[in-house]
Amino acid sequence: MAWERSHGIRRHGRVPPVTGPGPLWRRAPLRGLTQGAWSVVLVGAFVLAAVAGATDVLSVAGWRTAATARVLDAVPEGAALRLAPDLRVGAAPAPGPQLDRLLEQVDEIPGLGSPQLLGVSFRDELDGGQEVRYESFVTGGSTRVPARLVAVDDPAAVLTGGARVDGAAAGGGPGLWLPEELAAALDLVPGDTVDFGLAPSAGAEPEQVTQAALAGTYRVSTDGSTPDDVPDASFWTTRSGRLPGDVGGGGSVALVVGTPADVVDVARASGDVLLWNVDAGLRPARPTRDQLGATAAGVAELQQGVARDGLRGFEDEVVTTVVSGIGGLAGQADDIARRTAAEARAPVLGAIGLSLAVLAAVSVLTAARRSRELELLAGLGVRPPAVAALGVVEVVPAAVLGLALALPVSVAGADLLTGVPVEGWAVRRAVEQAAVVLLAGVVVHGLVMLLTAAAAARSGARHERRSVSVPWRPVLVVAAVAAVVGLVAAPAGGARGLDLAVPVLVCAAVGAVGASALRLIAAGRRAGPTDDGLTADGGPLSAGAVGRLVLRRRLASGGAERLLVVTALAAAFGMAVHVLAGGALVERSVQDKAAVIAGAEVLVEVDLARQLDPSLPFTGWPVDADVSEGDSVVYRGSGRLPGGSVVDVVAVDLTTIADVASWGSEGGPLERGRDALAVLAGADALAAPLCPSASPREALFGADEPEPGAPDPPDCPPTPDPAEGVPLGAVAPGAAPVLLVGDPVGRRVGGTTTVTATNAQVPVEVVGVVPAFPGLDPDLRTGVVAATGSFLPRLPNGDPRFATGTALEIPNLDVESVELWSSRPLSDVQADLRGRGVDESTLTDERRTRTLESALVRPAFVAVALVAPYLLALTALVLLMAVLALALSVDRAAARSRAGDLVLARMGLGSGGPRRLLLAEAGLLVGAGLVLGLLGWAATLPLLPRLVEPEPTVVPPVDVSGVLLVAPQVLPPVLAAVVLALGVGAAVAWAGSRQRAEEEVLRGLD
Amino acid sequence: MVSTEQTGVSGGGDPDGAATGPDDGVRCDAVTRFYRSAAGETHALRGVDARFAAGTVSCVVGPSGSGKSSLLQVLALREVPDGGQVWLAGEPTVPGSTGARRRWRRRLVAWVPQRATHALLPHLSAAEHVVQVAHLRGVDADVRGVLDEVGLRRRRRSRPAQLSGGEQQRLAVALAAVGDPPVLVADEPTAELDDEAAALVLALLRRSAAAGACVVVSTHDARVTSRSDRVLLLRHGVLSTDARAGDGAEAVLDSTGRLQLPPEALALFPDGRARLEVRDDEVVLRPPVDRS
Repeated sequence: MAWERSHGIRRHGRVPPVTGPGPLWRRAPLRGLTQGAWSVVLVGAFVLAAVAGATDVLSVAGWRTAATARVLDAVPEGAALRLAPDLRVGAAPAPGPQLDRLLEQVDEIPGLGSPQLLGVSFRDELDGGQEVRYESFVTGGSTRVPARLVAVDDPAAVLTGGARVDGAAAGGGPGLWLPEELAAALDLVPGDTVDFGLAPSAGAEPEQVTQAALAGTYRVSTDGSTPDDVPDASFWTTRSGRLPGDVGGGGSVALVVGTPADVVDVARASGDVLLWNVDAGLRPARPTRDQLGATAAGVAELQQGVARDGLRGFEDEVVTTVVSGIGGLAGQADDIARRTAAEARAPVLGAIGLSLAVLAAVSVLTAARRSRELELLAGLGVRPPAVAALGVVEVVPAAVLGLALALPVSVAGADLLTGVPVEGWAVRRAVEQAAVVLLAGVVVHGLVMLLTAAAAARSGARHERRSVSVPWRPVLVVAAVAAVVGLVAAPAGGARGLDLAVPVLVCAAVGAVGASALRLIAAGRRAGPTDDGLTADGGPLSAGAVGRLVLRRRLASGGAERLLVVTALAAAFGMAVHVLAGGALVERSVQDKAAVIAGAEVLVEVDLARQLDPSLPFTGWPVDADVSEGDSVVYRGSGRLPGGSVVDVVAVDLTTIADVASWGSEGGPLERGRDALAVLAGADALAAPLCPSASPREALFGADEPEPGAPDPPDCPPTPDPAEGVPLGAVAPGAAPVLLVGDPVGRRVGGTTTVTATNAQVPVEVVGVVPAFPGLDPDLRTGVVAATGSFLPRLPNGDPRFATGTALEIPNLDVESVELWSSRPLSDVQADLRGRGVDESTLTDERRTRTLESALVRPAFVAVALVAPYLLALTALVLLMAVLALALSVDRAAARSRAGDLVLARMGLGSGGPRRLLLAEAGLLVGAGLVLGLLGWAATLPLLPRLVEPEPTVVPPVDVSGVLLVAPQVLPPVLAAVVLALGVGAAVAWAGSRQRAEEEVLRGLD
Repeated sequence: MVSTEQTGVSGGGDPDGAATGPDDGVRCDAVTRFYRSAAGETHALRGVDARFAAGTVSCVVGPSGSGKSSLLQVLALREVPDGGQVWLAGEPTVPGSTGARRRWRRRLVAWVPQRATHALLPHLSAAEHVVQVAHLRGVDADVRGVLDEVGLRRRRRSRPAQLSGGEQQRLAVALAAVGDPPVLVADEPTAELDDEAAALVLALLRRSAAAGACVVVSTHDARVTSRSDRVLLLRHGVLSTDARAGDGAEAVLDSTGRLQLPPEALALFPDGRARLEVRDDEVVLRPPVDRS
């Protein structure tokens, strides 16, 4: 254009031409950080986005480590080797080059401590039989005591903590270590000579006797045999099941401990042989999942190598084996971590999406705040891409600062949420992922600025731009309805994925609809008698009435912004209540389900009651096993109810079971089972007892006479005559009172039915129906609980308390197993039963010795426990965002009403009047959000079991009726959130209503 | 009306543009503009024909709602008319691509909004504003000289929020003049100024006109109209009268033949009907004969 070319006028003289970027570009990098409160909002939004992005990686890594820790923690002391976080090379070569090479290989496995050698006396196990039982012994003077050799690398360290107390005092040197009591009984002190021999049978003359010095003495643990561990060590505890036992079956034997060299010498001289094992434990004891995985890989490689090399111990008689539970534990940890990650997938993605939505909202608000600026730039001819680029340059420093702030927050949060420190690789990947999320946020910001600038640049359309009204409320309601229908229609199996958004959607929808209704109500009241600003008699309104009138008008004309705030608050409060209540209910449910799976803290399954009580006399009538306090004997079998449904049948000892069994959560569904035990006990007492003769012992064992000294038989009262009436609460003659568990079809209290056991029917009368009972097969979902006294004698094939054989050995035995339920720690139970002669394989078999702790580490249970803190954090994030929306709304309301407030203040409302109006408005928004959120949550209550059910296949289902019981866990945090919202709203209202200079307000300096 | 001689500032051309040639100034041909709203359409401009010559200061006056701001927005290329044509230095601007309009605004057309805050960026100082606008217009700028001219040299480091309303307005006008754009459109630039500040602003506008710019100002301010070269009255979106400095007011006939009578003349025709007599060199309007 000619005119354009001709206007090269330089009116103000010759000055250097402008080069480089203009002030807009030079100022842009710092602008995002120098806008006061808005910069805080901007940086805060980026921090949230970065935290959401980083938490994904950090949480997954943390969950892997936490799951690993949970799995390792759940391994009981003395667990079977195939389950323990240890490595044992069994039947290793005897000390020599082959063993040295093996030790090197074990030492090279990452994550394992130094391999330790354990040699144990093995002659009897190797060469003994029914006729020949090799017995090794020590003698002192004329006393001969059974004893077995044990070789360890450093006896002084593992027996006395390293100080050769006794041995050193006696001059040290090589030698053997004996239990203190044994040494005292043999009248030996360190330095004395002790004789060790091996005889082909107990009491027989030894083949050879050798002598060794007594290096020292040690204390034994409660089982009377295993050396006591030194403080803070578990050398002997972890080997308690692997030490040689008494060949006579007595359970405990004195262990003669020495160095491999000393013990080899003694064994060789006495004719004993040694089984060599190489043991190694995890170091550190609580590794990360990756460390555990590396260890498991090393163990697997060693197993393959040993199998390939064909190592053999005992001069090629026994094949060397590598046994370890490390691989299994790593797999178990993986299962839990996978399940946890799957549980958290939707919330994690939701958090990222939410944070990006917040960033987009902040960008839109930024553009809205700068609408005049954007119009000015458009008027000056700045291209929209340049405006967008300026916007990007402005927010990049805020994003970088957000990332820098978010990283320590995320790491600390992940530490807190998962309870384990974050690994380095996870931090690096978290930074990468957070950066990607932030980059997406920056791009979103640039796009928003681009679109806004382009709209501002479209000349001619400025006054015609209509605010596009997105019908978000109907969309929200439809989405909530669709989500609910989808959830209800989905097959049972727990809520997953987007179903978890149901409560949030419902609460938001209720919030939107409720807020609209409240606005309509407020609008409806506008036509009241005071709407014209006068009282009914035409007088002026009081200041308070004016304030209420203005407030009602503001709320009635609130527009979409206030509706959005109430909706956001309702969704946030509803989600908070849902997550808190759901989390507490799930926690209770996990306790209940674990109790159903486990039955008691410890459950040991044996074949016969007599195994639990070897002193049980043989009588002509059933006698209960005498077990320790805190234990109870339970008989278990299976049967069928009429109709063919298979049920678990347990007969419990009513005198002890209530105190021993695990009853799950306080006030939970299992406690109804405990309460019903009283009813069962009452009925059991009134049930017609059967005389001993009624229990055909002969059918099982043939008639024999009671042992001498056996207790007298119980009284056998006459069977009540039905003609004379049955006492109140008594069961029908011949029927055993039982509790039905679960939901057997058609069974009701007071009814009689039969339980078919093996091939005959036992008449039973239902005295109670309970939803669940500890220890009953959770998969069968129904069961029968009976009392031993009234039920076992009625078994058609005889009272199992007579049995001296197992179900496999005795045909038609109606009871499949006898269980010891205990409320004592596992180690106590194991030590007790070991002393009673229960074999080690039973005590270390995870299928026969079960614990509540092991039931609690089911992947589903651990996963929900690990995800719970994350959901809480996400809820806090949502609440924070809702409060932020409230703050922005109040701030904008304050800005909008400045001029009006000035007028109101001058017209008699007083200087504090506008401020009170803002405070009241903020309070009403929060109150409406809270009430509507609670209403929304209440609407989802019937869906709660489907939404939070951690393990649908295990009874009992989540007990929604317990929601009142968890109120103390829900109310304080929700009230804190309400107080926070009110506080922030009040603070913003206070700040926003501060009087600005009147001339500024009237000049429109905003 | 004050003549150019009275103001002491020389205009650069003929007020009606006849002497400046067809390629100078801005020309509107039958410009219409209407806005749609929920209540219906509002016709802001109903076929405005006007020519604004380079080197002159033209004022657009009229009651509120008469279409002043719409006309200025169209002249400043900030809005596209719904009908008609706007010629800028002989070039048609309608329809014109968005990019072309943006380039014209950037290099050729300066705009001073009614509120100075709408012309300023909150994070730039006064000096930075000058540099930025010069940068955008591709010209050099003597920052001190520009600010000196409007009495803001000592406030060069101040940001808009630190300036008074008058200072902001002076800065906005000074920015509009940076680089001597050929068209300068100002919407009530003196509305919030005291006499001293208004005088500075007016002097700046006249200086721009003297440098060859076509200056169009919307105003109610007699201080401005009295020092302008031409005053156009808009009523109901139609140009009603056109008064030149030192000359009488002329009624305006638009391209469709419409004529707006001044109120005192309109009062002679209460029925809204007139008898038209066309003579050799004049047209006479008479009230119709009463037939009752």
